Amino acid sequence: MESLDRRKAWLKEASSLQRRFNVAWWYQELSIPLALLGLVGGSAALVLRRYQLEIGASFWITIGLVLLGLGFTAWLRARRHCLTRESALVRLEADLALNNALTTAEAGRGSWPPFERRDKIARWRWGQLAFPMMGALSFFLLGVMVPIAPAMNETIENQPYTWSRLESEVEELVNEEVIDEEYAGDLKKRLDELREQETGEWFSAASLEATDSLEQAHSREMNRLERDLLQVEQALRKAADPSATEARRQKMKQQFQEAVEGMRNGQMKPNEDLMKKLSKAAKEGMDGMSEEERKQMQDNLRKLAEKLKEQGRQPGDGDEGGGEGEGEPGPPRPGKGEPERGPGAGGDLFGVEVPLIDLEKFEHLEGKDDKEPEPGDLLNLEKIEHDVDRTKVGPAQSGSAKSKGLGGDRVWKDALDPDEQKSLKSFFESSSP
Amino acid sequence: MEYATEAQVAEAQSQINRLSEALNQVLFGQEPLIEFVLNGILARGHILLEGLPGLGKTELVKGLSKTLVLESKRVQFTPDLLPGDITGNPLLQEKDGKREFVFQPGPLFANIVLADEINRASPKTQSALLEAMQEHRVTVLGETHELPKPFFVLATQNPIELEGTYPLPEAQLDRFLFKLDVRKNSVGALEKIVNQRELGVEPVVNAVLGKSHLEEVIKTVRKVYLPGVVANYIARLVDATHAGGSSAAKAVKFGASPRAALSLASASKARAVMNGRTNASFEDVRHIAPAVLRHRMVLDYSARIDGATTDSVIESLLEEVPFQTSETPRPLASTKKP
Repeated sequence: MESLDRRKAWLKEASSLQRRFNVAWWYQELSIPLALLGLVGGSAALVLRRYQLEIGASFWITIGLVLLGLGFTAWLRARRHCLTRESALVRLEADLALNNALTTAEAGRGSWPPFERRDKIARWRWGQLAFPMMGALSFFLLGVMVPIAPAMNETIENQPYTWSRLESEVEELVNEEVIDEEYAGDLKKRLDELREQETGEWFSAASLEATDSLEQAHSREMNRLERDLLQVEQALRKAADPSATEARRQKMKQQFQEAVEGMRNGQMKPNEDLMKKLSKAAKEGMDGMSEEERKQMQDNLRKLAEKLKEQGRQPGDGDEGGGEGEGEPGPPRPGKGEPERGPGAGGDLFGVEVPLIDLEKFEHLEGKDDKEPEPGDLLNLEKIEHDVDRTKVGPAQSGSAKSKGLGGDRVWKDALDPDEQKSLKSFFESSSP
Repeated sequence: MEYATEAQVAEAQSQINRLSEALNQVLFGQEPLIEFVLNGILARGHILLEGLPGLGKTELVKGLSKTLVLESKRVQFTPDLLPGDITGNPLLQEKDGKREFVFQPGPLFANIVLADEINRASPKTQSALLEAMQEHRVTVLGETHELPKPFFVLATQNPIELEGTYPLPEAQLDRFLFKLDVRKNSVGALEKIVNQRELGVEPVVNAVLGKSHLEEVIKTVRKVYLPGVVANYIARLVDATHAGGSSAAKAVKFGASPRAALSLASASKARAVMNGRTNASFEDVRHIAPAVLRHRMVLDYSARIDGATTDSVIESLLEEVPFQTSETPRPLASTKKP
């Protein structure tokens, strides 16, 4: 019985050691891939967030699957190092100096030694254990949580200013319930069409022209709506004047109906509630309105017109000077052209009227200063003759020599200095028979 | 296969203890040496004792033969000793009117042979011991004669640096189970010798163990269980003595033979019985490894120049070769070296 208890205790201790070793091997094989996964996962999260893509379930599932795969691979790699229960017993008896008593007892060749609770023979190194995991986790959390400016923001800030201004204007008008949402939607749609171009084309002449055109149309619509609102308000006010004649009232009714009709047909409409009331009033010929309702509507119309007027004013802009100046109209001037083409060949340079350039009448300029010639200047003209060898050369008989040996004679007489000539002459004299 | 029981081992251990006590009364201050000699006897091996003259080598062997009640003979090896002087010679004798050769057994025909100063004999005479030590028999003029059982050779030799010595050939060295260094006595041991001994007077030694008892103990030793992991450790240790087998073996020119592995196993079993265990262990192997391996390894010349000795190489080997092959993973810190 005692032997059984000892056996049980030792085998339990061996299993514990075996488990610790095998987990440690598995973790050792996993640690480097885990750190890499943290790095790659964190980087992927950064990229996704940078481009404002959602870190959704698919991302987490992918990370989870990769983690599972890495865990499985690490287990496969760790298997070759794994301890069996027998080898754990051997390690126990070796470390505790038990003279192989455990192996012997397990083989049935001896009795189990008494079990004593001893210190663990293999302790966890928490530094080794925590470093890869904390590293992986840190990389990953950095990727997921670190504040980052989305890449799209830069693109938005680099778009033409008019686009964002138009958007914000219309958004404000809708928020203040000045205009109908339908117009805002149309305008946004057209702006999105412009944005859908290649980013490099956003500032092209065609894009800017389209933007100008859109801005002008928007401005016209605002002016028209403002005018119509004021016209309706005026019609209401004048029709309610007790001193007004019947004919005057009828005229105001007609003016009211025309203005309402104009609003209904225009692209930019007032808010839906007001439009319904105005349509109803136009249908009933302004008779169904009480005095109080009329005044309230008048106030409402004035406020809306005022807001439209304010919105149409550019920040920092004063009113543009209307009409022409007092001076006499000048001659027609060349346009500035599109940005890509550059300015045209205008006749007015720095305010001075110059004749237009005729490309067919170009003439060459000649440098007159011979002492400081420019590259390419013609310096001199001279008539010369080619140095042609005019020696008569004809057929010669073989074996005959024309040269009389005068060449050598010329050399020693002309090329040598007097001392050399003298010594050479004496040599030939002495050597001749 | 039948294995030794704990009762058998306990009985054997008590006999050995008595033997050890008796020897310790003869030889003072040499307890470790006596332990190894007994270990070698129980493992049925021959023992080579090396040490300077006068340290008690011969005394030990004589004491052993007396305690074991075994027939012992002593051969003083000299340069002019011939093989026939130790194996025995055929003598021409007249018998019944006829002359015939009759074999006259030499001093090898005893249970314990003390080969004193074995390295003073010529290699030819040394080689005459080979057959006797390995096969427990001698062949003279084509006739083979069995030696008595048990048969042990306990040889002593002077350090080879001394004058008039011939180094033993490697083949013969391999036949010795242990090579033991006999160290000088401590001051306390010398004092005890002076007090209890007299020059020229043999100490009285009591017989402790009969031949049959010795054979019984040896039988128990042979039945000791050698776990597979220990056998594996022995194999790895012997393999590591060869060049390329370990970093410590860089200094080794020739490593240990398979006979060394068998010797380690046998001596480990004997040590287990001496310690009252039914199994041999890693610790047994580690304890006896220097005595088993030191005369079986030949060191490289350059390593010897660098001051390496077989003992230092064996120490490095024991440090380098772990008890088992499983490594410790990095996240775990092993409190002890396996």
